[in-house]
Amino acid sequence: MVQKYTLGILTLFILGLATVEPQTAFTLRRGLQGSASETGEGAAQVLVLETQLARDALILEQLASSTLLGTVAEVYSEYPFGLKSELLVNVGKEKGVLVGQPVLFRGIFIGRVTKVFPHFSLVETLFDVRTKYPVRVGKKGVDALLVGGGEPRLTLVSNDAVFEPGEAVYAAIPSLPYGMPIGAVGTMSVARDGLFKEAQMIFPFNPTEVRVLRIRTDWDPALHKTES
Amino acid sequence: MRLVGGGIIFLFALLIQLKFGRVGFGLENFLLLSLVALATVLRTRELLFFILLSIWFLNWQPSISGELVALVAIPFGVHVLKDIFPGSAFFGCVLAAGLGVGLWYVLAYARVILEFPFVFVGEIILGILWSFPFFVAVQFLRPAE
Repeated sequence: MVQKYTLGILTLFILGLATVEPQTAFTLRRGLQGSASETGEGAAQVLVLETQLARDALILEQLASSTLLGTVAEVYSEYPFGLKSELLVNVGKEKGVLVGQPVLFRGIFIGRVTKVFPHFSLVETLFDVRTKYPVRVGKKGVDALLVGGGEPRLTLVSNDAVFEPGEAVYAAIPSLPYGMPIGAVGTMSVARDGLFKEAQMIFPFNPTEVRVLRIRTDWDPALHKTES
Repeated sequence: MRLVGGGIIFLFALLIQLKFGRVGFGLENFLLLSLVALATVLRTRELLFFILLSIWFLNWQPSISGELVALVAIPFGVHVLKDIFPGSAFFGCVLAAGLGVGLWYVLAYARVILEFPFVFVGEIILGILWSFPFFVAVQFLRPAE
């Protein structure tokens, strides 16, 4: 009888916590998961500069990825299972966040907003298997498709394309600001079908250390829609 | 006593999933597997408590997601259907874990299944393998007959 009542009280307590104070679980989970920091801000700045140089070489428009644009957002919680990679951040509709806006970490494009709540937003990152983004690589602006996942990679790179490991990879996504830095080219290989080249991606940060992001709330996705 | 034993199994699964849940190899379903195993021995209210606990702990957004629906529906489904599973513990385990993980992917990653069918099949096989320790452990929680 005592056990029955104890269980009932505990169930109600958890139900109350889940409804009123969900962030207690976020904090607890983060504490248990821990975080690691392997690379610092310096590497990110180098990448931003390399991208800038690559784009200058192509005489393209001025780099649109100033780190000062947009709204600062703190990561509240993250998707706890595999395959997908989603972050819940602490700004939402009230701060002008819209679905489709790009999200940056230290000036590097990390994903985009997929869901907006009054005080929160959900960001789908590059480390989600569902993501695919057209990108450009290096000083020659080689076209490639960035396929997301635990280890994002560059695919569909033409066999005669010329670029070296370490060159900057930047966004060429029609509905997002052009030229946002994404990462650098890692080890290159030939795709299984032999028709294209592939390359691993190098990011100047560890995905587990992402805690503060910047959402480009100045960017209106409705004005840059490519699908009817 | 059964609740404490169930709690230990549940906490073990929770910690494993939190530490390794994002690396794949079937570990992302560790908590689901423990709930499926517990669903075969616990009373409804006890199972409800553990399901609620896992939802509170794992939810990462203020709206309902396919993953959390799966986390409720699959263990409850097993709990309701446990008497229909054949008497053979081995066959029951394989069926419950395999169906559980399969249904999890259908509810949570329907789009991913089409794109990565090998991952789907691999995760079902790994889920069945990982579930054995849980099914063995919950046997100690069964009331004496």
